[in-house]
Amino acid sequence: MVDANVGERSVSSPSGPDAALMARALSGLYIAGATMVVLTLVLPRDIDPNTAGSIFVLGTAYAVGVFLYVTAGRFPWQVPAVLLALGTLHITGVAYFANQEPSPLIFFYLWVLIYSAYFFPRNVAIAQIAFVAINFGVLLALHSPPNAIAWWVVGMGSMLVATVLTAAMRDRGEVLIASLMRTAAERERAQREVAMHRDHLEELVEERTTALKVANRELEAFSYSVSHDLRAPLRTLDGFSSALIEDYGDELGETGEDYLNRIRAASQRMARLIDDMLLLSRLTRSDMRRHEIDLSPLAEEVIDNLREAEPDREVEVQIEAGLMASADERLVRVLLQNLIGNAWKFTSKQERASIEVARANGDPGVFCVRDDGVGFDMSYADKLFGAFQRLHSSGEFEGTGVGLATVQRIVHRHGGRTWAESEPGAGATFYFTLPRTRTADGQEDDPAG
Amino acid sequence: MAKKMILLVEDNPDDEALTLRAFAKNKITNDIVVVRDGVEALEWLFADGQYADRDVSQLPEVCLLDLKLPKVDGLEVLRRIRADERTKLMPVIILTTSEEESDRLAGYSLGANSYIRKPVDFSQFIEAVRQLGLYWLVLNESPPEPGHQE
Repeated sequence: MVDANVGERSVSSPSGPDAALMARALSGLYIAGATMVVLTLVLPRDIDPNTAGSIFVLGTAYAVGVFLYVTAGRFPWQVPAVLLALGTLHITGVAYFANQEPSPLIFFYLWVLIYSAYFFPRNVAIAQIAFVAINFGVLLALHSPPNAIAWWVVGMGSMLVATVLTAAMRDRGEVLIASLMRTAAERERAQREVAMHRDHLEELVEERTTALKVANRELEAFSYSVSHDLRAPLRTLDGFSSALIEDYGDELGETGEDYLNRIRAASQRMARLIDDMLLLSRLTRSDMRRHEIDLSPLAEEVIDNLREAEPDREVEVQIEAGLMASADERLVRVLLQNLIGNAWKFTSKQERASIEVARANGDPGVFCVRDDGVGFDMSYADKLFGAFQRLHSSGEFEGTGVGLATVQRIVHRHGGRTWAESEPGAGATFYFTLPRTRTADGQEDDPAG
Repeated sequence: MAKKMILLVEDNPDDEALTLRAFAKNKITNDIVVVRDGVEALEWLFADGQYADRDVSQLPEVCLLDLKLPKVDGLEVLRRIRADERTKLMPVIILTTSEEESDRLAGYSLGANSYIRKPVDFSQFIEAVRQLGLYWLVLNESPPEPGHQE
């Protein structure tokens, strides 16, 4: 009875490690380690980490099978299970941190990895130490403490061998495990960097937005002040000049009155200039409301107003019907007022004039306003749309030089472009594009909000 | 019955002189009371401070209100005029340099009866004052005095 017990104890003693068993286990683990190293050398370097993990696990399982064959099945079932766990966890752990997502194999040992990933998500080294510690816990749960320590030393030893072997080969090229681990570390570092940039970017955007808001508020305050304070002195100039003419006209004489009239004209011109500037600055700030609109009736309206102001002029007007565009009606009205107003103005020196508002060459997105007026020299075309640029003297034609700048800004706000063609004495044609449908062009984002 | 009175709230002495001139040019001979900032306007209207002796029931036929005023601005003056039982029906015309949409919106929202922008061209201003006088002092029937409603 007693003898029989001795034989059993020698196979699986719960009280202490068996020296022969340990030696065989170690040899098995070296086989596993060697298998991994061979696989490392054989596998292509650009292999998907998940596939690599699976192959390593299969390799380890094969090694364990060899180990079981060598020990002829005389070992408790925990041994291969623990070995499999160690090998698989090592590889899947690496694969996990390389991938930042679980490989299918990980579900076998998910509970272990959840702990390591949960407590040490950002550091592969710490996670591996945790993994080692948790494995020790697993062994403790399956064996008595002395045996657990023994198996743990065996397991760690095999890992150490594998790691040392792979590390030794690192100099000879990109070894897969080493590269996987490096990839993980590099990826983490890159992610940290990206995260830092992203956080910084948000800060930067916030900073810029604030600066922009401040600038916009200042601009608004400025234009408010301009519309109030810059006009008031002009009223004084004009008002008292007019009072002088009325009350002291006789004493002033013709020349004196002429001077005062010049002051009045200048004040009024400056007032117009201020109004135009304010309009221009408001166009940039105001919200856009895009709808499907018909430019034709808007153009008719503009012409009607011009005819009303100068009923004696003979101007033949042709407006193509159904000039549809997706645009802000208020802004387009200002655009047409400026372009048609220009055509009206620069044909004023001739007895008969003609103005045409139409699609350019039948293209639905391109519109044009054509006149047969004085035109301009194309060599000045680049100055045409600049604010306060004038190609004619104020003596020739009235104007502040803001009109075409306004036109350009309106067209730009719609994402279109504008250009002109002309010849001195042969009239001018101003082209502009507007979006055709709302869906084709997204709503403009206003930085002013 | 006392002659219809006009209250002009204007801080700029040039504008004041020009407005008075425009009234004179249009032969509008009503009494024109000029106050030069928002605080003075409120003191005059509610017989307070330096105007404590004034008969508060004597309301102007129309009040011409500038928006940009020292101390208390025009919109605030308007708000207090509309908040007070005695003056809430008094016609108030905003007479200002600003053509800012926000000012017009705020002016009408607070209950302004009219909003007129002072033109730079003095001839236009005279015409504006002529029409204004004709409408508010002749054509328009003023609201009943407070306390006389049924």
